[in-house]
Amino acid sequence: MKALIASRAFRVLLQSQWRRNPAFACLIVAGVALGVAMASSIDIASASALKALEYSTQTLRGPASHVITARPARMPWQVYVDLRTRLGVRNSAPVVTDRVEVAAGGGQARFMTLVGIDPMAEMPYRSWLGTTGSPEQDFDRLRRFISTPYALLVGARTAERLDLDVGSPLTLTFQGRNRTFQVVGIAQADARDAGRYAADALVTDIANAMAFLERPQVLDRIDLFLDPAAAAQALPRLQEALPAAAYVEEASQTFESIRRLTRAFRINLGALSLLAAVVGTFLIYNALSFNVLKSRRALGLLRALGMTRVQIFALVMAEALALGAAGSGAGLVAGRLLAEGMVNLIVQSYGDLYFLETVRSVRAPAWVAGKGVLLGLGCALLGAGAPAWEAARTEVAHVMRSWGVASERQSAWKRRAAVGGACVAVGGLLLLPVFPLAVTFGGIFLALVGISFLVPACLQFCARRALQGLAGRSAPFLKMALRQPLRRLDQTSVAVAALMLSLSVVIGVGAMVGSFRASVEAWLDQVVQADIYVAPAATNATPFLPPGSAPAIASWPAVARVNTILDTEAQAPELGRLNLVVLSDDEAKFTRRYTSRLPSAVNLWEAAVQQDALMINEPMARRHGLAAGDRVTLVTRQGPTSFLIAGVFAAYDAVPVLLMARAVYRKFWAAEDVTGLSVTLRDARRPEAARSALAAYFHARAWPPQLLSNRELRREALATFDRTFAVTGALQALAMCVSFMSVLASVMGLMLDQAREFATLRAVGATKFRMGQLLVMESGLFGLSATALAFPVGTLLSFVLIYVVNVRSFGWSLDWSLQPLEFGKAAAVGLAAALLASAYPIWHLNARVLGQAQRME
Amino acid sequence: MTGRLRIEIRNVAKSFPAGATRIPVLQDVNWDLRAGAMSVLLGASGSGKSTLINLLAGLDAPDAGRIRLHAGDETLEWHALADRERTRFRLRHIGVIYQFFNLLPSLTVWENVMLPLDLAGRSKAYAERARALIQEVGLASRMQALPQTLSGGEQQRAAIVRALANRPAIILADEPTGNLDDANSQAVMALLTRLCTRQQALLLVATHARELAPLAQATARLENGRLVPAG
Repeated sequence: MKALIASRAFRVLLQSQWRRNPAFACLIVAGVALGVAMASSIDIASASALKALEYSTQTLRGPASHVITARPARMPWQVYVDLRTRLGVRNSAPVVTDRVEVAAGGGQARFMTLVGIDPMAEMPYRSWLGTTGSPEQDFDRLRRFISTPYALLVGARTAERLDLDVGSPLTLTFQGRNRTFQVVGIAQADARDAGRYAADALVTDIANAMAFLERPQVLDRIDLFLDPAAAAQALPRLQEALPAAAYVEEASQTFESIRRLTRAFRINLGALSLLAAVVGTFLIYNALSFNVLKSRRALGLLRALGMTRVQIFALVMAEALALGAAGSGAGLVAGRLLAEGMVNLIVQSYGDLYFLETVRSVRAPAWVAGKGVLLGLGCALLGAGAPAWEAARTEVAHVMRSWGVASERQSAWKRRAAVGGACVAVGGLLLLPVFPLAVTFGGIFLALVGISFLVPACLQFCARRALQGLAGRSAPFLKMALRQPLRRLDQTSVAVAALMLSLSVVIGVGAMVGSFRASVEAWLDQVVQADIYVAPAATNATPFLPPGSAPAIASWPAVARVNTILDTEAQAPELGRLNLVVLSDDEAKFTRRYTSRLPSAVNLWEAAVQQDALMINEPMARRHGLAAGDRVTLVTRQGPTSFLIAGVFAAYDAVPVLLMARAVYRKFWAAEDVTGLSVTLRDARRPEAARSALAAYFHARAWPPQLLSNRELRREALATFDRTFAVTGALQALAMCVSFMSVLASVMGLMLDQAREFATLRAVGATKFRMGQLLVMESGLFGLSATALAFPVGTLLSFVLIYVVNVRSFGWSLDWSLQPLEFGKAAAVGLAAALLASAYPIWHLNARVLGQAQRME
Repeated sequence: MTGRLRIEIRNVAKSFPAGATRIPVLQDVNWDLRAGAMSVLLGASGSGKSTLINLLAGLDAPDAGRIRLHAGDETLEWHALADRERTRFRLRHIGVIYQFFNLLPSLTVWENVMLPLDLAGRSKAYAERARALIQEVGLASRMQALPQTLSGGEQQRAAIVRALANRPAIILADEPTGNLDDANSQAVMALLTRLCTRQQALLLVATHARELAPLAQATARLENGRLVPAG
């Protein structure tokens, strides 16, 4: 075997395949490339985004082991003073940070992160300034950093991008306020990583940051530099001594939370990319299968000349491997390009210049390339297996007698239908909630592959029925178009299955996103009841509303009702820190949808108040296996306290949330803090006057508010939703590309296979127009059958995505609503792809068919 | 076209590209073919017989020279017609028969025969005549069969009926017996000459089989792309 593969004859044979059928070779390469591109782009995008997130977390925190933050408030400077003096934690550094706007060239303003530091406190632990190699120069840089008014240190990449040098001015904007800083140093990372921390941020002295951001004596965080032993000893005492709203946590925890949050999203995207690989495998199978059919005579000849079956098998597999390798390479390049677009989609809501730049600068991890190549070669081998086996089985005497290229082997469609049915049944079983999410996806794949195995039987049935209907009628072209699938059932059904799968993804994902959006809209209708919402603006040093605001506003004649909101956190000994929302009254108490509630309660909110109970959202219930009637323990002023869960409410938060009545909160936390208001007006048609009055009221108390009307809040929420799911639109577009490829492959295959028949038709007297009609009819029927099959399969897929995958991934209950638009889109894509795909063959046919006719004899 | 048909071939040349050069296949070919007579074009494999048949069928155009069709007072500059006109003319007036039958495998025998009639929009009378022809060639019981289920002789008989269904004035047969045994060859040639004589068609048979020459009223041989008298 080795001798054969190394032999010149083998190489010549392989090359001849390329030369003989360059179109098929290109289709195989394109099929592999599409699958690999889709999978690797998603891998690269999510790996890069995560890596960049990790890098940025590390960059902006450096070697800090722990971080002290406060929620919902920021920390007063006094916390830091107490930390160093009273508690003796001297290895700590205060940080003030926020996102600011910079002019990024071309008149565009983009966001970057401004970090205010205390260089003296930082010095022993991390070097923002980097080193120049000369102690004198280092000292001079430090001196300038401290003494120059509004001195700024920028990373080398930022300096290059913004065309900055030492001494350059740079104007930063925050909340409409401009301030010109002066660049006093450009940080270069050295071998010891000094200066690396400033690479992607704008660094200034903490006093400058406080002045510019207008947050005097307020800190965003305190970084601690503790070794593990010291941390273990100091942390319990530290947490005890911190103010109630301040928490100390490991620096890496933020990144871990984000990783956990995005995991389900990444799994979903990954599964869709694998589906593209499955479709790619179908394309390869189809193209190679046609190729083997066309080569049957040549293969028979090779057998007659002395090649063994194993050698023939190896020849086809080697061809597939070579094409698979080429496709993998092309797919990785395309994947890298696609990934850039995907990163933009994934992080566009973040809108941070530095973050985007960092993501782009992150090199794709090596495993992505490895996985892509393995996927490409795996698809190629998997797709080539059956055709290679078919080639190896070639009966010399039979094919040498036969001049036809069409498959003469009766397709074992009944056996395939039985296998398909079994796959669907097993796949369905794997969707049961007892299995982990990865197995669920395996079940979906298995079911989809099983449905693909049922396609030949469906085509057989439909084509025969249609032909029966045409019996006795003179419609030769339509009959030809209908008999094609029957004559080449293996190839046609695989191509139809590939198109059907792609269109099912369009329908399934589209219906899932559409249902999700409809559910979110319905949810917003339920919970967003007030007319105006008040929240702290980002510039506020404190998120807490001025005391007495709620009763004062409630007394205004235009105001019907005011409810207070406190957005805070609570510590659960077993579950960690949890988001806690405290409401004076639930304005949605009559409309809020509960998926689980105490059976005895008529007005659940009142019942919860009476029983000192709380509500939890669905993600919390699913993640921790909780339901109404269970209890959750929270650390209150009275120590660990067990709370009854009165209900589980439907919500589309990504994280667990507790909802509690203020009366209950007051009882156990003895606090009256308010971070927001929901204001209901007597006349909701004219919110502008009330809005102006609210703005004036809070500005007069030096507390700039963020005011959102009912409509704005809904619009913002839906805009965020649309941004989040923009990436699924990109995946749908890719699925459409795959659809087009599968139709093109199939129609080209049919055309090559039918070249002799087309030539005969032309010789008999069919005009080019009639030939075009025939091809359009054949490809149109192809698209039509795939679309018709995709409708029920896509509907099923959307059902599974909504009721199985979403619930398991995110814990959200969605209302399944079929989206006519998605069906229309799929039908349009299927038919348009089919008709477009016939354009090239029509041109090719007209250009070449007479030549074929000349060679026929 | 009405009137007695004649094909005039003058100084026809045809070559095909082969890499950077062109291989001449036909050079300075001159011949006159008349309706009601069977002409035989002899030649070895690769001598250019099929190329000349393709030029006459309008499946290709000559590089040089003229092909004219004369019918009574009418003259058609065949070599200069656009593809569309050539196709239409071929549909109604030319029938082509091939060595490998070239029946459309996805159509039954009857549908294959009816195809040129459907394309030309012919009346029911033509269909009835086609049915009679099928009966005459002994395929009445195989009308609904698909071509791959027929023997070689049956397939060629079906192909002949398809070529004659439109009552063409010109019938071009390219090695019509090349894929048949002796008995079938004789039967097919007898059928072909009988049907062509009956409808006063111009029949040109391209073949390498010298034994067909005595059946013809005119015979020529292609040697190295040039037409020479058959000897």
